Amino acid sequence: MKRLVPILATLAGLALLQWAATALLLDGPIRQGPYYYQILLLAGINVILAVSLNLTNGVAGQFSIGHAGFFAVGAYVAASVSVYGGPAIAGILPNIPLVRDSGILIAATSAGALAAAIAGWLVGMPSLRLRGDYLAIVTLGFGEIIRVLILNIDAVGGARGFTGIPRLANLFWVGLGVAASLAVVRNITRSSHGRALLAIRSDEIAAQAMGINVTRLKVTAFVVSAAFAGVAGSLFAHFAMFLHPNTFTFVKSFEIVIMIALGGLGSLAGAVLGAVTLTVLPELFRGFADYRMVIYALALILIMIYRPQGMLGAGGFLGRIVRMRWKKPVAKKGAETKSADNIGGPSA
Amino acid sequence: MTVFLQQLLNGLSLGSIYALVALGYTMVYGVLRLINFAHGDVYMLGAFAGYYTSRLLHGHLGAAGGGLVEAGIILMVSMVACAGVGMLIERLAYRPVRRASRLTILIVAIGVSLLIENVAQMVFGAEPKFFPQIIPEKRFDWAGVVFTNQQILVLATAVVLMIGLTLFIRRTRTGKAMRAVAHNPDAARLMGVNVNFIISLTFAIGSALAAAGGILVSLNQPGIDPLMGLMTGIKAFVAAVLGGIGSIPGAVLGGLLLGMAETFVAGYGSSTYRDAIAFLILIVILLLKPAGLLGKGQVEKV
Amino acid sequence: MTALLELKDVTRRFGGLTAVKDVSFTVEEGALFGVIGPNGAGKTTLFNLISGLYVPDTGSIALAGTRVSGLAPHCVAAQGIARTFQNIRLIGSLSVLDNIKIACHMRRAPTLGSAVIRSAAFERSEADVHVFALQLLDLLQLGTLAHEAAGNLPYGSQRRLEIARALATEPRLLLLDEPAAGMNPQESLELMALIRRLRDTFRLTILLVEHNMKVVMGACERIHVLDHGESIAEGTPEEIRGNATVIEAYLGAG
Ligand SMILES: Nc1ncnc2c1ncn2[C@@H]1O[C@H](COP(=O)(O)OP(=O)(O)OP(=O)(O)O)[C@@H](O)[C@H]1O
Ligand SMILES: [Mg+2]
Repeated sequence: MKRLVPILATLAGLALLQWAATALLLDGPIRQGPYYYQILLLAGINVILAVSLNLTNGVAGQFSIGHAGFFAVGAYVAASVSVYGGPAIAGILPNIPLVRDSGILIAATSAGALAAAIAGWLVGMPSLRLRGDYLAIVTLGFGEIIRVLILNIDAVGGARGFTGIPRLANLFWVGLGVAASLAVVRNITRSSHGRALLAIRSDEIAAQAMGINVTRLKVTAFVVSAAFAGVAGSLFAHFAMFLHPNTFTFVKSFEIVIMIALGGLGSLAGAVLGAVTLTVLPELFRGFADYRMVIYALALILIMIYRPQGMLGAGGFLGRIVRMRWKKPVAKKGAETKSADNIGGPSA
Repeated sequence: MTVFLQQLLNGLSLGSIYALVALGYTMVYGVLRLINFAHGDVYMLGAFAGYYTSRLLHGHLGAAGGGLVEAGIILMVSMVACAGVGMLIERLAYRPVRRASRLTILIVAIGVSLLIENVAQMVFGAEPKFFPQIIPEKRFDWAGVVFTNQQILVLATAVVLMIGLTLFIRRTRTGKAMRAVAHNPDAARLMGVNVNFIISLTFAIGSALAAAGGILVSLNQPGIDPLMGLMTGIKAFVAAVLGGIGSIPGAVLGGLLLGMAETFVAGYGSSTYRDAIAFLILIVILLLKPAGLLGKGQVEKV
Repeated sequence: MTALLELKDVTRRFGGLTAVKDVSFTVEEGALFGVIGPNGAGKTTLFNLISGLYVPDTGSIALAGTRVSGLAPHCVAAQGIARTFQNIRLIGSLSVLDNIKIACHMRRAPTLGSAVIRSAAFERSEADVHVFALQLLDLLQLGTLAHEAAGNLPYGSQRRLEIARALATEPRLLLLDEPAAGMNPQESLELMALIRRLRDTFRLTILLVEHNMKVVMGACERIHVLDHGESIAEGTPEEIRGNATVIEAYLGAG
């Protein structure tokens, strides 16, 4: 019961927000709402992408750069469900717009998440057995293959783009997606499985010797991460009402990578901060649109050289402040014992 | 049989390009254990360097030597320019993170690739450019197998460069130092090898070979654009993995096999699957023999 | 007494080098068994083979009659073999306690689903693991350092933490690779007493690699000697002490 309280509170809060947004005419069945409202939703979708990618790239240390591929699978599968299966789903639901729309969106999102998870499993199984750099290339290639496949599927519009997707996502649903991804990723990270993932990231050999099934755990993290990318895809499809393969190029994957690198690899708050920053900043500096990717790339390199822990990672600038405020001070005993008890010897 | 021979020839000339680019991946991987993501982009820069050089030259040389003189100059300029770019990339981006975690290095490599692609789009424009026809095409028909003088040029140049590289690595002092660094950088340093210099040189040679690949491709398929390095880069990487990353003959073998696989799939099957075959090969090789065809399976010391 | 660990003609080559050659021996249940040999004799390689990190080229390894050679390392661990590393492989950035908890994952992890929904079973298991890990730390005299980052620990404590982590997998057979390396004679003796105590408390069988002859001779009941990857002797400490081949190997090496 105790656990239900935050869930109910989140739902109620989101419903209230949504009601306010509708009342203020920010949102409606046809109109997309004002510009900043759209940016808000986009930021939410990017948060889901960043938080989910952070599970594989940050926590488990398995570097995927094909997240846009899973995002695309989720978006296209979910959109297909609501476009082609929408009437059928609506048929079995009571004829109340709210129920009908919610039902279709839930069905579409579940299908998108499932499809993305399956895709994640298919890509992860062969490649996660191997060293990280291989995974990076395989995921990059996979992302591009997905895009090329979509370009050749006529039922989803091919190169013309997929039109006629109903607008079902709103502040409520995006907020719910954000809350769910945060809760799931956080709960996994702070669990036995999360610790095991950290062990894999720092020393696979030691992890194996301690009985951790390294491949299985990596694949699990990868699948969960892909599933949430699928959720983000569905929300994106039902927000933008139009999908085009060019949205899902490797550039999108890199953008998500930059979000989590900027925020601090492995840090949940960092992923959120990175996603929001990278969604909002370009909008504030529209004039720089042409230089955007150049700046991203430079930022990525400079962050990695000078502050690999990102904004919120351990020892990062903001991270230190947060820690100062919230972490109980640790006695400096370690430092003292070290000198007294240090017996030296090689630790090759 | 004729069709088969035709495909074989086409595959070899495509494969020799992959091989040239794959060599750079394998050499850099050998000394740094790093997948140089920006390598495909250096290949693209090679094509553009050739493009601009040829615009400068065009008309000044006429058709001296059937365009061979001009092609030679372009090749040289582009290889030298890209060798410089390669060394610059190593010096500015990779050296500061050489001792950092693999993940950090990998992200930097991705960043470098993104940077080059986007700067190139700003400088060169995103739309494709057309590489001038430097060597007028001549077709030869040999018992039904059609081949062009350009294909022969591509093959010949690639073979010469690969033989040159092999001789350099096997016979010269510097080449031996390179192998020593690949084997064990710390030991090599103790033996008096200037490791930084060797790594720089490795980038220079690898990048020059990629540039040569870029030029040779452009002679055949004149459309060049700032993103042309992406797919070729990935495929060349697949070729390197197929042959066994870190192994120089492996890169050549992998490149040729991949090139042939692609032309055969496109020739006998459907050309839509052509781009997918590389990834299929990659996945199969990773599952069955991750060390590659000629690579030695390394056991991590525990 | 029954045989717990059985090696039969185990060979492992690295390129031209045969690191372990036709090694066979049997370790009785409950034994404290020593493996000694000069540098490069193949002792660590032997441990890597037993723990599944390397696969033998030929020969077989069995635990209580079940073949373990060829199994993936995590499956070998599941069979009940745990080890420490000569070159300490702790996760330095994590706390001492978390290092132990990681090793509890294999036997004591709740399901992923229960972790996601934070079920009662999950909370219970986390609490159990916490208590279990603290108990282990106390046993290894690390209780006061539980929240310290493992990397900040003095060297001797890191070695003990490696042992605690191996124990957290609840093994039947414990492989200790030079647990006293870098310790002074006094500390080494204390460690040996501790190891014997651990064996009795947990009914373990222990396989121990150690360079310090005094320590091995004092602690082990039976000793196997390797040189250049080959077995050259086996016996009680007294037998080994008087063995001419062994003395030759050590003098020749150093
Ligand atoms: N993964 C590997 N690749 C190549 N050679 C290896 C590998 N692992 C071990 N060796 C070699 O096998 C031989 C035995 O090494 P091993 O580490 O087992 O010796 P050891 O008896 O543990 O020595 P020490 O007392 O120094 O720890 C050495 O020559 C070593 O270089
Ligand atoms: Mg050893």
